[in-house]
Amino acid sequence: MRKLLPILLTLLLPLTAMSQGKLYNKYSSRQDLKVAEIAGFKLNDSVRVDVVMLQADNDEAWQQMKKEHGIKSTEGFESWLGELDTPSKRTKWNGRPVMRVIASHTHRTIGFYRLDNEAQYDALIDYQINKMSSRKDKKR
Amino acid sequence: MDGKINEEQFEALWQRAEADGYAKRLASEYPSWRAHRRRMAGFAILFVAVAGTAIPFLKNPKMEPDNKNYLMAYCNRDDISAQYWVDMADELLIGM
Repeated sequence: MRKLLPILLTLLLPLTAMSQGKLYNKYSSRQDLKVAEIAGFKLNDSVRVDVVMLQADNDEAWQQMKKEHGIKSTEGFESWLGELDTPSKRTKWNGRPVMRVIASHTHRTIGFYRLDNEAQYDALIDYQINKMSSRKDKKR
Repeated sequence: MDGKINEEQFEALWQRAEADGYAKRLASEYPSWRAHRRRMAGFAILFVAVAGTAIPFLKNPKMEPDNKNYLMAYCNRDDISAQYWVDMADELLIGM
Protein backbone atom coordinates (compact mmCIF):
# COMPACT_ATOMS: atom_id res chain seq x y z
CA MET A 1 0.00 0.00 0.00
CA ARG A 2 2.89 2.39 0.75
CA LYS A 3 4.08 2.05 -2.83
CA LEU A 4 0.60 2.63 -4.23
CA LEU A 5 -0.03 5.87 -2.33
CA PRO A 6 2.31 8.07 -4.42
CA ILE A 7 0.74 6.67 -7.61
CA LEU A 8 -2.75 7.43 -6.32
CA LEU A 9 -1.76 10.98 -5.30
CA THR A 10 -0.16 11.61 -8.70
CA LEU A 11 -3.39 10.58 -10.42
CA LEU A 12 -5.69 12.60 -8.19
CA LEU A 13 -3.72 15.83 -7.65
CA PRO A 14 -4.18 17.25 -11.18
CA LEU A 15 -7.90 17.38 -10.41
CA THR A 16 -7.37 20.07 -7.82
CA ALA A 17 -3.95 21.59 -8.27
CA MET A 18 -3.63 24.21 -10.91
CA SER A 19 -1.57 27.35 -10.57
CA GLN A 20 -3.30 30.57 -11.47
CA GLY A 21 -1.23 32.83 -13.63
CA LYS A 22 0.31 36.06 -12.43
CA LEU A 23 -1.73 38.03 -14.92
CA TYR A 24 -5.00 36.54 -13.70
CA ASN A 25 -4.08 37.28 -10.08
CA LYS A 26 -3.12 40.83 -10.94
CA TYR A 27 -6.58 41.70 -12.26
CA SER A 28 -8.95 39.19 -10.69
CA SER A 29 -9.93 41.46 -7.79
CA ARG A 30 -10.91 44.36 -10.07
CA GLN A 31 -14.63 45.09 -9.84
CA ASP A 32 -14.83 46.71 -13.27
CA LEU A 33 -13.16 43.85 -15.15
CA LYS A 34 -14.17 40.32 -15.99
CA VAL A 35 -11.04 38.21 -15.81
CA ALA A 36 -10.70 34.64 -17.01
CA GLU A 37 -7.96 32.11 -17.51
CA ILE A 38 -8.26 29.26 -19.97
CA ALA A 39 -5.79 26.45 -19.46
CA GLY A 40 -4.93 24.39 -22.51
CA PHE A 41 -6.79 26.22 -25.27
CA LYS A 42 -6.52 23.77 -28.17
CA LEU A 43 -4.80 25.01 -31.33
CA ASN A 44 -4.40 21.61 -32.96
CA ASP A 45 -4.23 17.93 -31.97
CA SER A 46 -0.88 18.31 -30.25
CA VAL A 47 -0.52 21.99 -29.31
CA ARG A 48 -2.35 23.93 -26.61
CA VAL A 49 -1.78 27.38 -25.08
CA ASP A 50 -2.85 29.10 -21.87
CA VAL A 51 -4.93 32.24 -22.33
CA VAL A 52 -5.89 35.08 -20.00
CA MET A 53 -8.82 37.29 -20.96
CA LEU A 54 -9.66 40.74 -19.61
CA GLN A 55 -13.01 42.28 -20.44
CA ALA A 56 -13.92 45.79 -19.33
CA ASP A 57 -17.43 46.25 -17.95
CA ASN A 58 -17.72 49.85 -19.10
CA ASP A 59 -16.06 52.41 -21.31
CA GLU A 60 -14.18 54.01 -18.44
CA ALA A 61 -12.53 50.71 -17.50
CA TRP A 62 -11.77 50.05 -21.18
CA GLN A 63 -10.07 53.43 -21.60
CA GLN A 64 -7.99 52.67 -18.51
CA MET A 65 -7.03 49.25 -19.91
CA LYS A 66 -6.11 50.82 -23.25
CA LYS A 67 -3.86 53.34 -21.51
CA GLU A 68 -2.26 50.68 -19.34
CA HIS A 69 -1.43 48.49 -22.35
CA GLY A 70 -0.50 51.25 -24.75
CA ILE A 71 -3.37 50.63 -27.17
CA LYS A 72 -3.52 53.55 -29.55
CA SER A 73 -6.09 52.39 -32.11
CA THR A 74 -9.71 53.38 -31.66
CA GLU A 75 -11.53 50.60 -33.51
CA GLY A 76 -11.18 47.02 -34.74
CA PHE A 77 -8.37 44.90 -33.37
CA GLU A 78 -4.83 45.60 -32.26
CA SER A 79 -2.25 42.86 -31.82
CA TRP A 80 1.33 42.64 -30.69
CA LEU A 81 3.88 40.34 -29.11
CA GLY A 82 4.41 41.35 -25.51
CA GLU A 83 7.00 40.39 -22.94
CA LEU A 84 5.92 37.61 -20.62
CA ASP A 85 6.04 39.55 -17.35
CA THR A 86 4.99 42.90 -18.83
CA PRO A 87 2.77 42.13 -21.82
CA SER A 88 2.22 45.82 -22.53
CA LYS A 89 5.90 46.06 -23.51
CA ARG A 90 6.18 45.26 -27.23
CA THR A 91 8.80 42.79 -28.32
CA LYS A 92 9.75 40.56 -31.25
CA TRP A 93 9.74 36.78 -31.50
CA ASN A 94 13.20 35.50 -30.56
CA GLY A 95 12.36 31.97 -29.41
CA ARG A 96 11.82 32.94 -25.78
CA PRO A 97 8.38 32.76 -24.14
CA VAL A 98 6.19 35.73 -25.06
CA MET A 99 2.54 36.77 -25.03
CA ARG A 100 0.51 37.23 -28.19
CA VAL A 101 -1.77 40.05 -27.12
CA ILE A 102 -4.94 40.83 -29.06
CA ALA A 103 -7.21 43.73 -28.12
CA SER A 104 -10.72 44.10 -29.47
CA HIS A 105 -12.50 47.45 -29.22
CA THR A 106 -15.81 45.88 -30.17
CA HIS A 107 -15.68 43.45 -27.26
CA ARG A 108 -13.69 45.76 -24.93
CA THR A 109 -11.52 42.69 -24.42
CA ILE A 110 -7.83 41.90 -24.36
CA GLY A 111 -6.60 38.32 -24.82
CA PHE A 112 -3.14 37.21 -23.73
CA TYR A 113 -2.01 33.97 -25.40
CA ARG A 114 1.10 32.56 -23.77
CA LEU A 115 3.59 31.21 -26.30
CA ASP A 116 6.39 29.21 -24.72
CA ASN A 117 7.97 27.75 -27.82
CA GLU A 118 8.11 27.87 -31.60
CA ALA A 119 5.56 25.06 -31.97
CA GLN A 120 2.97 27.19 -30.14
CA TYR A 121 3.96 30.30 -32.08
CA ASP A 122 3.53 28.50 -35.42
CA ALA A 123 0.36 26.69 -34.32
CA LEU A 124 -1.30 29.97 -33.34
CA ILE A 125 -0.64 31.45 -36.77
CA ASP A 126 -1.85 28.26 -38.49
CA TYR A 127 -4.97 28.29 -36.32
CA GLN A 128 -5.78 31.85 -37.36
CA ILE A 129 -5.19 31.14 -41.04
CA ASN A 130 -7.26 27.93 -41.00
CA LYS A 131 -10.16 29.49 -39.10
CA MET A 132 -10.21 32.57 -41.30
CA SER A 133 -10.12 30.42 -44.44
CA SER A 134 -13.00 28.25 -43.27
CA ARG A 135 -15.00 31.35 -42.33
CA LYS A 136 -14.46 32.79 -45.83
CA ASP A 137 -15.52 29.47 -47.37
CA LYS A 138 -18.74 29.52 -45.36
CA LYS A 139 -19.57 33.03 -46.57
CA ARG A 140 -19.24 31.99 -50.24
CA MET B 1 9.16 -25.66 11.21
CA ASP B 2 6.64 -24.02 13.52
CA GLY B 3 5.83 -21.10 11.18
CA LYS B 4 7.13 -18.44 13.61
CA ILE B 5 9.31 -16.44 11.26
CA ASN B 6 8.91 -12.85 10.23
CA GLU B 7 8.11 -11.61 6.72
CA GLU B 8 11.70 -10.75 5.83
CA GLN B 9 12.95 -14.14 6.90
CA PHE B 10 10.20 -15.80 4.94
CA GLU B 11 10.98 -13.70 1.86
CA ALA B 12 14.65 -14.67 2.02
CA LEU B 13 13.68 -18.30 2.47
CA TRP B 14 11.21 -18.05 -0.39
CA GLN B 15 13.77 -16.52 -2.75
CA ARG B 16 16.27 -19.22 -1.93
CA ALA B 17 13.64 -21.92 -2.32
CA GLU B 18 12.58 -20.52 -5.67
CA ALA B 19 16.18 -20.48 -6.82
CA ASP B 20 16.61 -24.03 -5.64
CA GLY B 21 13.33 -25.15 -7.19
CA TYR B 22 11.69 -25.88 -3.83
CA ALA B 23 9.08 -23.12 -3.87
CA LYS B 24 6.17 -25.51 -4.16
CA ARG B 25 7.38 -27.65 -1.31
CA LEU B 26 7.97 -24.60 0.87
CA ALA B 27 4.54 -23.23 0.05
CA SER B 28 2.94 -26.51 1.02
CA GLU B 29 4.66 -26.29 4.40
CA TYR B 30 3.45 -22.70 4.95
CA PRO B 31 -0.09 -22.62 3.56
CA SER B 32 -1.03 -19.47 5.48
CA TRP B 33 1.86 -17.54 3.92
CA ARG B 34 0.84 -18.68 0.47
CA ALA B 35 -2.71 -17.55 1.18
CA HIS B 36 -1.37 -14.24 2.44
CA ARG B 37 0.60 -13.68 -0.77
CA ARG B 38 -2.42 -14.56 -2.89
CA ARG B 39 -4.60 -12.21 -0.85
CA MET B 40 -2.15 -9.32 -1.32
CA ALA B 41 -2.00 -9.98 -5.07
CA GLY B 42 -5.80 -10.01 -5.13
CA PHE B 43 -5.96 -6.67 -3.29
CA ALA B 44 -3.49 -5.14 -5.75
CA ILE B 45 -5.55 -6.30 -8.74
CA LEU B 46 -8.76 -5.06 -7.09
CA PHE B 47 -7.18 -1.68 -6.33
CA VAL B 48 -6.02 -1.20 -9.93
CA ALA B 49 -9.47 -2.19 -11.23
CA VAL B 50 -11.30 0.19 -8.86
CA ALA B 51 -8.88 3.07 -9.51
CA GLY B 52 -9.08 2.50 -13.26
CA THR B 53 -12.86 2.82 -13.12
CA ALA B 54 -13.18 5.52 -10.46
CA ILE B 55 -10.62 8.06 -11.67
CA PRO B 56 -12.14 8.64 -15.14
CA PHE B 57 -15.54 8.83 -13.45
CA LEU B 58 -14.32 11.45 -10.95
CA LYS B 59 -12.88 13.53 -13.75
CA ASN B 60 -16.03 13.30 -15.85
CA PRO B 61 -19.01 12.32 -13.61
CA LYS B 62 -21.57 12.59 -16.40
CA MET B 63 -19.33 10.45 -18.63
CA GLU B 64 -19.85 12.86 -21.50
CA PRO B 65 -17.54 12.53 -24.50
CA ASP B 66 -14.49 14.73 -23.94
CA ASN B 67 -14.46 16.92 -27.03
CA LYS B 68 -13.69 20.21 -25.30
CA ASN B 69 -11.17 22.46 -26.96
CA TYR B 70 -9.76 23.52 -23.59
CA LEU B 71 -8.63 21.75 -20.42
CA MET B 72 -9.93 24.07 -17.74
CA ALA B 73 -11.24 27.61 -17.43
CA TYR B 74 -12.08 29.84 -14.52
CA CYS B 75 -13.29 33.39 -14.09
CA ASN B 76 -13.58 36.02 -11.36
CA ARG B 77 -17.36 36.12 -11.97
CA ASP B 78 -19.52 33.08 -11.26
CA ASP B 79 -22.24 33.88 -13.78
CA ILE B 80 -20.11 33.51 -16.92
CA SER B 81 -19.57 30.11 -18.45
CA ALA B 82 -16.21 28.70 -19.47
CA GLN B 83 -17.52 28.28 -23.01
CA TYR B 84 -18.14 32.04 -23.24
CA TRP B 85 -14.44 32.69 -22.67
CA VAL B 86 -13.32 29.94 -25.01
CA ASP B 87 -15.54 31.39 -27.75
CA MET B 88 -14.16 34.84 -27.01
CA ALA B 89 -10.56 33.60 -27.21
CA ASP B 90 -11.47 32.05 -30.57
CA GLU B 91 -13.23 35.21 -31.75
CA LEU B 92 -10.22 37.41 -30.99
CA LEU B 93 -7.92 35.13 -32.98
CA ILE B 94 -10.21 34.96 -35.99
CA GLY B 95 -11.39 38.54 -35.93
CA MET B 96 -7.91 39.97 -35.81
